[in-house]
Amino acid sequence: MKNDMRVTYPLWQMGSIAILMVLVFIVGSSANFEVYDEGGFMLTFSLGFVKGMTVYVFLMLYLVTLIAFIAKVGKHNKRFPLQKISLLSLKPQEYMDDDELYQEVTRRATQKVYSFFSFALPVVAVFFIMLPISKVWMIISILLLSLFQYLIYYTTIRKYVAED
Amino acid sequence: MLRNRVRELRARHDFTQIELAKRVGVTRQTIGFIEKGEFSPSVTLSLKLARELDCSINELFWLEGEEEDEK
Repeated sequence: MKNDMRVTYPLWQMGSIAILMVLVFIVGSSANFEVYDEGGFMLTFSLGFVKGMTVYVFLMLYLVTLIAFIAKVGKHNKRFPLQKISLLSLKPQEYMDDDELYQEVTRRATQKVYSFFSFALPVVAVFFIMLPISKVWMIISILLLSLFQYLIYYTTIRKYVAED
Repeated sequence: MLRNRVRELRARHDFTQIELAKRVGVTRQTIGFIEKGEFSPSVTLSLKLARELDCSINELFWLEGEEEDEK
């Protein structure tokens, strides 16, 4: 399991989500959306130097992460030809079904994630309905849920793959 | 909890965890977790292990508490 990217896949996802959250927050809080009575709309962004540089740095960071991720996937696929990671597949790539232990581990981890969503989604929905939350914070909340999903999955499987 | 003698019988047969894992078609980690009692194998895998370790499934696995009864 050492160097198996299916194990570290959730960490890559969490990193990417964290970067996206920063970008959504800065860009979203700097956007102004106007709808005209006569039809049409205008979307403007007012980024100062600090915010502009932060967006630039995080965009570069996202790009570097993406390139490193694709390179890692290529290495993984060469090293583990029977457990290839496909970026186009609909199946979550972190699933491991090498044998019955890993099928069981994957089942336990996905069960925990399912339990988390069955609790968190209604709570978040109630907050969205009850409180005047902006779209930016709604998107950040969804990204945060997604981040927790990978965190739960990773912490569950780590115990079973750490012993090498 | 399921108890077992996999580690003991594996050592008697001079198998490493990797060798036994290959013989029964699982990963080394699976053998490790079975030996520690942290994973209960399926009937199919239990039968394969018993076959490779030259014993009956009852000699290889038993339920906690039943060990004392047998003695």
